[in-house]
Amino acid sequence: MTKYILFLTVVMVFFSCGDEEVTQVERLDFSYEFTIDGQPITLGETYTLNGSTVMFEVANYYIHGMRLANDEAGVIIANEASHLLAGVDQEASAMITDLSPTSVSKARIIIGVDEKLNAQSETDFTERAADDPLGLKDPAMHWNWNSGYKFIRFDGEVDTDGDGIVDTPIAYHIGSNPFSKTLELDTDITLDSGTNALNFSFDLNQFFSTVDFQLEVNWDTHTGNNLELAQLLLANLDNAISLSK
Amino acid sequence: MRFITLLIISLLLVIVFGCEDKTQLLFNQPAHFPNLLIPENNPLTQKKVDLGERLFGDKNLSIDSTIMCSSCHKAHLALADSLSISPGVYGRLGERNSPSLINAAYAPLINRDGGVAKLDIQALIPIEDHNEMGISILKLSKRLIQDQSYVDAFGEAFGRGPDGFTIPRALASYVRSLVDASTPYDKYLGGQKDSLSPAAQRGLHLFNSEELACSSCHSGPLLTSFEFENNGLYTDYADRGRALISLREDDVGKFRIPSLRNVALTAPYMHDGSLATLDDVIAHYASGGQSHKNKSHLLKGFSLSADQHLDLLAFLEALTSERDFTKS
Repeated sequence: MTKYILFLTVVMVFFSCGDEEVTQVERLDFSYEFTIDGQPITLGETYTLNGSTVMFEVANYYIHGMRLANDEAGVIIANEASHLLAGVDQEASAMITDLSPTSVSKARIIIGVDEKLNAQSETDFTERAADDPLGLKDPAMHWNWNSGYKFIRFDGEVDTDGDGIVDTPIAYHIGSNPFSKTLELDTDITLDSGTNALNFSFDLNQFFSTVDFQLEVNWDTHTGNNLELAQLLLANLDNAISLSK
Repeated sequence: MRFITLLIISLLLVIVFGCEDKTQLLFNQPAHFPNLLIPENNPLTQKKVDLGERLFGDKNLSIDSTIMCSSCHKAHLALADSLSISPGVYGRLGERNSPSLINAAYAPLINRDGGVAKLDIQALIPIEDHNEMGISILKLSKRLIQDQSYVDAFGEAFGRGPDGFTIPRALASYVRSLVDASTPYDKYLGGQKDSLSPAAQRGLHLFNSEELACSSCHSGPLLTSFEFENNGLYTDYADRGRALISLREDDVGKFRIPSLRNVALTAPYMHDGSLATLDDVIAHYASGGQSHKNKSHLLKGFSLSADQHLDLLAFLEALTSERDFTKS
């Protein structure tokens, strides 16, 4: 009898993992959307925003310094070094994890690029692989004239004469280290075993809430040339981004 | 068997990497110049310089194939331009005057506002700028890959094809070859005192004088400290200069102090090409410039006699290279 139990124990030790049942949270897939009036936008389509007809051709931003936490365990995932390029046309980014199913009630993200990497003094964007979020992109997220990255980039056109045609270019390029912004997001996410699809949603109504597109002063900022507008938009980020499953 | 395997691997390595020219260019640096730093990941070779020079004169580097680097950096003008603002693709105009590229490789920060951290990525500015050449570096890479002669030349220079890494580094290598110390002033510094005319020597004395203080900013053998200063050109700057990069109000209107080498060839002057002649420039500094909170404290104004004015001009003209940059 003892020998039989011993034999069963050995068999269980060797074969207990054989059915490969997934019990851990293995992977988080991040996707991105930009919304106007709660509806996801499509690049190249026209929308009404703050009473103006607008169209966006580029909508991108960088995320890094991610920490996911809950009240019981504190920080459960800290992936601070990785950078994600969030954009309408960006493919979903993946993060590999190994933790038991749990909940996420808080997310900390930093909008922008790590200060050291932003300097380009060591490895610059031309030295990075094409699939690296910090590598050369088209449309470009690097700022050729000041060496750093555009942390947030929106390009498009707006109708300024009321004829319904969007033909005045608009460009909102926000970058430089002081314009990196840490956001603390409240979330209500359950992470299940296996792969979890999470979505970053960017509310354009909130981000542009203080922008009158009919005023020329609001047609572009490359940060340094229109600091006031860049600062306004940065302040609007506070409630513009949410994370959900 | 092991020997044969090693042999095959060695042959493969030779095939893959054997074409890249890794020969270091023997750099003939003027003795009185500071040490020119060459990045480890872009050693200077003749093949890179030749490739960079070819790219420099190729209109295919612009979106509509009308503008080449040398459209705005003309060899007979010390690689500067005679226009205040050089037109780019589709006749578009930017905001700044095209600077001379002679000895530009020594600048610790690139651009008039110092926004670019290193020469090896500087070429991305004109190539990608909407008002200059207007093409993304990724699109340009795809364009150049269609030309087998470029693929071969890049392979020989870098061991890889034209891409976002190699294109700006080939151009940077060419700019690094534009080091020059062939002026009468260099000969004078080397001990040939008669290489400067008596008028130019008097002009040099004025240049170094406490009253004019030109050499406070245009200092050293490169005739620049590479610092950023507001020279009182305007009371209100449309181009915020260094402040675009630093985001600091006390940098508004500051631009990198340019080298005065070849200054007689690089009119018009200032960051926006707003002063047409050296006479205008001297008159500007003599006036002390416009009032601005960031204006350099060195700008106090001065007065020169007509003869002194000519002496100063004679010295500035002695800063012209004798090397012919129209020849490779």
